[in-house]
Amino acid sequence: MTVQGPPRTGLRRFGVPPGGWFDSEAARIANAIMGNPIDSPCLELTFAQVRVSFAVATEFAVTGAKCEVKIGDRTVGSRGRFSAPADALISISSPTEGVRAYFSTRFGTLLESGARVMVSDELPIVPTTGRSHALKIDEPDETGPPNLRVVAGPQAGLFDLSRLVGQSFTVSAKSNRVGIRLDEKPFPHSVELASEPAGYGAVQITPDGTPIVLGPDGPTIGGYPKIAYVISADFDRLGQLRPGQTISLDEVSLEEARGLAREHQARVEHRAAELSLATRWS
Amino acid sequence: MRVEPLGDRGLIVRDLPEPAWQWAERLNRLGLDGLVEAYASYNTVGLDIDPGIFLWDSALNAESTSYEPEDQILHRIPVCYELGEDFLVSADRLGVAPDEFIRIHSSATYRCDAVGFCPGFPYLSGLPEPLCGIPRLPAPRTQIEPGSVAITGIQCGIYPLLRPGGWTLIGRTPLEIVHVADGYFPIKSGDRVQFTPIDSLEFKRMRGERL
Repeated sequence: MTVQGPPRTGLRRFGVPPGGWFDSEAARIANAIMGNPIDSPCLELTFAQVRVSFAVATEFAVTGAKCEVKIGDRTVGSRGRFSAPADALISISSPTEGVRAYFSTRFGTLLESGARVMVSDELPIVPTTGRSHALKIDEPDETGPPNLRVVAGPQAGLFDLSRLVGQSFTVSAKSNRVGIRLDEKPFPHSVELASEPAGYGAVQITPDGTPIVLGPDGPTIGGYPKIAYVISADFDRLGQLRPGQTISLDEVSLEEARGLAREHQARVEHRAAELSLATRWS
Repeated sequence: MRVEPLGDRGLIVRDLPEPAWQWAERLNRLGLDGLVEAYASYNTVGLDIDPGIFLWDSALNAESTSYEPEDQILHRIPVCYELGEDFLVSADRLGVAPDEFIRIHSSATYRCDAVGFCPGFPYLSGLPEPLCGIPRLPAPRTQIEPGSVAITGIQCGIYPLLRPGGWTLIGRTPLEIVHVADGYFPIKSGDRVQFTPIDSLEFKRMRGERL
């Protein structure tokens, strides 16, 4: 469990990756339904089973991966905004769908992004003013294998791209915020490159042929050839891929990727604004 | 110069008119619209951009703008070669006696061409020819100890933090060369580096000191 916020910029030249929420849409929605500025830091729970209590009666939000949220013995839902009395035990189960859940309350700006949160840690919160009501949010459940879209990478010409796009892959258990590793190894090679810029979304091929999609904490520079890049509109979905899950990859053009990024951004902002408004008027 | 996309929010620039780190630094100081950051690698520069705003034309002729480079520092970094997991194997592979390996590696002056991969990892050029040509591991190690000094191809580097990695490990420095939370990044692109051989007792004594 870590504190995450928006990506950092300006430190790439020292090798510091952007970091930040792996599913930024879910995190922003958690902030919106708490009435926080949408770029406030919140907790990222990765395959976590969490128990927390608040010293005062307060509201909290859970979004992202589908978990069971309980207050005391009572199951109150999976995603949305909930009210808890002082000292009540709140339990969030390990997710049954997705990987990363986001937990937000009125943290304000009191949390430091990137910090690891340990058992028994106490976190500061801003006391809430007035009472709000529970709010359930609906997330469409994905049907069929998630489909990620890619654009060709700088070394695409060294490989047979048709063995990547239009194909199915299995997400490896050795995946984390640095990279999502795939189980198949269709591209063994002996290409030696001087290290060059890599970054979030790059699909690198290790010499044994494994594709690794770099995540928000991934290397800024790398020497493995980059066959493709996952488009930025699909970064949030990368953060929810479960080990063992089947995914498929499709190729889009750079223009399409940029259009999809704008649409995705606009959709998240619109949804956050709507939920934030609903919060203010409830 | 040649420019290619790195996904929908990045570009890679090749065939630069000057050292990559210098061109990247110049671009960062120009404050171009839509340029989030320029960052150097060996002989290429990555650009993080807002594609709706950034215009590639604005980066052309950057090398002719006036620019005062920062002072370049010479760092002396102690290395215990016997603690390098692959030290003996790589000496054998290169056909160089272990003592000779240490002499060659520690008598060169390296230049930091880029900092990247993970926070504070210096990419060093100037690896002497007899030590060149070791390929990356077929599958990266899942964890490399902080301070590990490594080589691959014509490159040398230092793993500052616990990370997976595919380079060959030839020694270890006891010094802390980065502290992210404190914003401590003592080695920057353009700096020079020399290695000083130490034994395992000195390694223990100096362990955790800052560069």
